[in-house]
Amino acid sequence: MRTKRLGLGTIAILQALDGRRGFGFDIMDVTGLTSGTVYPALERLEELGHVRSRWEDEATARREARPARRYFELTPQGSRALADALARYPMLRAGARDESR
Amino acid sequence: MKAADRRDGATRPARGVLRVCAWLVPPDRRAEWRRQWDADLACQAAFLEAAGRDPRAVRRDLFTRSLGAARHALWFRIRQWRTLMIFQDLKHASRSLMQRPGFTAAIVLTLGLAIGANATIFSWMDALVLNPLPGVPRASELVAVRFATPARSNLSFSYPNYRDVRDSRPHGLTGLAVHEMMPVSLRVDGAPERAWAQLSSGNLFEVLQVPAALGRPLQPSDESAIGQSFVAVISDRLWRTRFAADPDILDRTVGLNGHGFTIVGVAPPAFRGAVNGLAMDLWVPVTMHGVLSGRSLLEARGSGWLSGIGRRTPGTADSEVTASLRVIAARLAADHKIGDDRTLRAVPLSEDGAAAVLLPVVSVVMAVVGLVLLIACANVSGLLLARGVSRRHEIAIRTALGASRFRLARQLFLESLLLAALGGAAGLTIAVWTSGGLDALLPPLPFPVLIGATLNARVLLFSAGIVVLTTIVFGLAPALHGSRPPAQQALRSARASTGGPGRTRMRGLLVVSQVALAMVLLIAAGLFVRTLDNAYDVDPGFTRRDAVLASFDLSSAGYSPERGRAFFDEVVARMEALPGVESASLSTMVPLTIGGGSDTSPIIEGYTRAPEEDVTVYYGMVGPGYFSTMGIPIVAGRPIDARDRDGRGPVVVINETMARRYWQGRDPVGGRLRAGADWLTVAGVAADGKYGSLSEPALSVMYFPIQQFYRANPVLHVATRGPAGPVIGAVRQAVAGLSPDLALFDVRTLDEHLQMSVAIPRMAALLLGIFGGVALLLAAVGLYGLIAFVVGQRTREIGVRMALGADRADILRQVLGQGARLAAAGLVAGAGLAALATPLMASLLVDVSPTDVTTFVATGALLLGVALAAAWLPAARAARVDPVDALRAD
Repeated sequence: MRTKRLGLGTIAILQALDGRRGFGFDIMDVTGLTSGTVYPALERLEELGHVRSRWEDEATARREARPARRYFELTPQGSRALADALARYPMLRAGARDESR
Repeated sequence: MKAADRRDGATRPARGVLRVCAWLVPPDRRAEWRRQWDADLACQAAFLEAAGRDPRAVRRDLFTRSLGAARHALWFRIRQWRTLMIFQDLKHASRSLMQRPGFTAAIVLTLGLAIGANATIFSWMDALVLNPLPGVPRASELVAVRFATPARSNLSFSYPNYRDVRDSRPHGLTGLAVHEMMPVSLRVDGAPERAWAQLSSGNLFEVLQVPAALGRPLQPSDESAIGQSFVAVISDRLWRTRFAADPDILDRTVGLNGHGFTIVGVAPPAFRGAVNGLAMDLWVPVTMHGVLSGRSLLEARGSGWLSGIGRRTPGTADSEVTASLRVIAARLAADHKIGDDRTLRAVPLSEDGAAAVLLPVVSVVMAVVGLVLLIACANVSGLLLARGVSRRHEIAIRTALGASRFRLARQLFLESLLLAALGGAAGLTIAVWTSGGLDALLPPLPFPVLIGATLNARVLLFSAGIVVLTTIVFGLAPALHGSRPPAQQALRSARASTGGPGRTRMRGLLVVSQVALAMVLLIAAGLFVRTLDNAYDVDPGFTRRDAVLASFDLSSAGYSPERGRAFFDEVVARMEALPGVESASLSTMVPLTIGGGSDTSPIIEGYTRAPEEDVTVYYGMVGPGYFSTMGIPIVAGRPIDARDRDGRGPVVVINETMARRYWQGRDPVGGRLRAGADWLTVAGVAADGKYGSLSEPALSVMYFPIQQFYRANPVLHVATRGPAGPVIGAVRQAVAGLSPDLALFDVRTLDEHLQMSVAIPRMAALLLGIFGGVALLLAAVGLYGLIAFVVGQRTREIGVRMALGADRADILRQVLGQGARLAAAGLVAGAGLAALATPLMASLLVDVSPTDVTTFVATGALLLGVALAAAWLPAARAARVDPVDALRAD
């Protein structure tokens, strides 16, 4: 397991996924990051094992008359990494609560 | 269904981005990547629409979000490269190129020259054809609108015809504007100077969709009344050079031909006007023509002088526009008797004017440099193959360590790509200097020419494309060949592994043709260099060397012929009163002016012309004292002098060639000829001279007195006692004192003017010299590559020979001999081709035969020397072969 420190943008993405699942664009909206940052970061986080992705159930999507989306959620390892990061940067903690919807 | 359609429209730009980016994603991940983005975009579109957002805002939002797809795709690609160890290969490739700097430099230089030449020519083509009007958005929608008859296809508009056509609102055109350029005398503060104005219809900027950078552009209301709108828009260049980019420029008044005009706007920096290749200084309403020129053409329906330009409604074809214009032309013909066979047509700007003339030329040059690139690729490919032979050892070790053939081929190909990229960088560095060269190459012309070719995004993209293409062309064969495992190679005979003798012969032929090409170009360059040398010894027919020449145009300063005649006398008298001035005069004809001169076919008393005989005689108007001022001897009769004024019997002075040809031994003095309406008496005969170029044959020339045949735009000739340069200032001052509003232009010394007469041979010598040098370098590299390859292949054989007693000198002689034979074949072929080609340029050569032996021999010797030097390097390596090593190696 690599122990590279996570950047602020990556931490923001982990925070956005804390306790909920999300997909590319809504993570962008929550974090204010651009798609060029969010999408590659999600791939890297999945490679690191911090998040996992799965395709939405086709039936659910069809009921809502839209294509199935690729959802991301935190793994237990990701939750730990987020907790470590928040312990390191206490300032991020305060903002995190207000931002989640 | 409707909502789905709408969503489809909203996601279209974003899906375009995805389609392009998808190429970056490795194939195994592509489908999933695409699915993820498509789903996210569709959901977002639906969400925004449900929120009631404006469709345009939705489209923009989706497009902005889709841009991240590029980085997402790149992330996958880079990770793939990392696992494939591309980066290690790249490091290895650069190290291996660094190990042999000479070899690398030769390839980079070869590719750099070829890519640089292609980028340069493409940048010219771009400026001339692809981007004909800089600063004008969507220039591809613009069309030139012309009147046409069965005989002529590009007739101009008269102003009344323009107004009628414009007001008929031709179908398919969003607007129709006209323009015409005109030299004006611009006075900011202090001395007036010449500037180029574009007389424009009020809607020109509207049709071109060019806004003002400062203030406002010209507008239709500026054209509403004839002679009332004293407003001007100035160019960015004029604003910067003449007004120091003063932000408070608006509402300032400048003098144009003696009238005050208010500056209402400054054009954007990129905008140069409505004519491809010309740079205007300012724009004034067309309705000011009468005010500026003194004689208005605005009411004359029969005088065509304005060029039309229109913008097509998007989606309309030129033929539709032309069809609608035809109807309007027919109505115009019926209403105003402009001629029944007259019609109107619309042509794309690239098929109009200078672009139409230059496009074929530039296309041919483009093909030539494309060929040069191909030759460069062949040569580099040869060099790499030669090197592959000497790298067998390294390849063998890598194979032994487990490298696959694919990996080795990729490694070699990557080295090629690196070389091509370095070559591309070198080429662009060259092109930075040369792309602007088209303007520098043009001889001095009486127009504000500015091609302004630069390296823009299109040129860079083109060059990048070339780099990739060249890599594939020159890198593939060496990569496949070089990566072949040595064991396999050893099993085959040496011959089979090199592609056989046929391949070597092909390459030999290529080298021969390169040498031949270099020979032809260098011989042509040599002939022009000799022409330049000789040019200074040719007798131009006048002895004057120190003089000031200055042009002016009295009609632009509002002079009537009567006042003009008086001005001629005064200005000459003022000049002759200046210290350091010997004498002064006027002439419309300056000797050795390229493309200058008027001609006519006079009727000569006592000479019967044969039915089809061409009686072309060139002529000019000269003032009293012209011949003595220029030092042109009068061989019979008298020169034109102060007696030859308006109201006296008209006279003419002819030159010797004319006297010989048309008087054939009779005394021409006192003879008569008719030019136009008048019968003139021959007053004298002047010595022959050179009028257009130093290489021209003897021409028939007549001189008319300018006081009898008034022209408003002569050139002032001021002969000085010493060097002319220091007198220029006094000449300017004296003219300004006489007529403050008259602009002097093209003020130069006679010496500077004479430099122009050698401009064409100099340009030709320079261009051919450059191309010849490039061809020579390519041929040398090609020869080197081939000989090096052959030596590499024959190492074993050479070893055997040396073991059997051949000494080093024998080997050296043998290898050099092979190079010399190829070079000699090229020289003979090249000399033969040159002997066929050079007579075509005989008219440009001065006192040197197109098949000048000295030039041919000297060029041949130079080429042979370079060829031997190129063959020397591999030959010396062959001579150093250690027989023991060579025999043990395989």
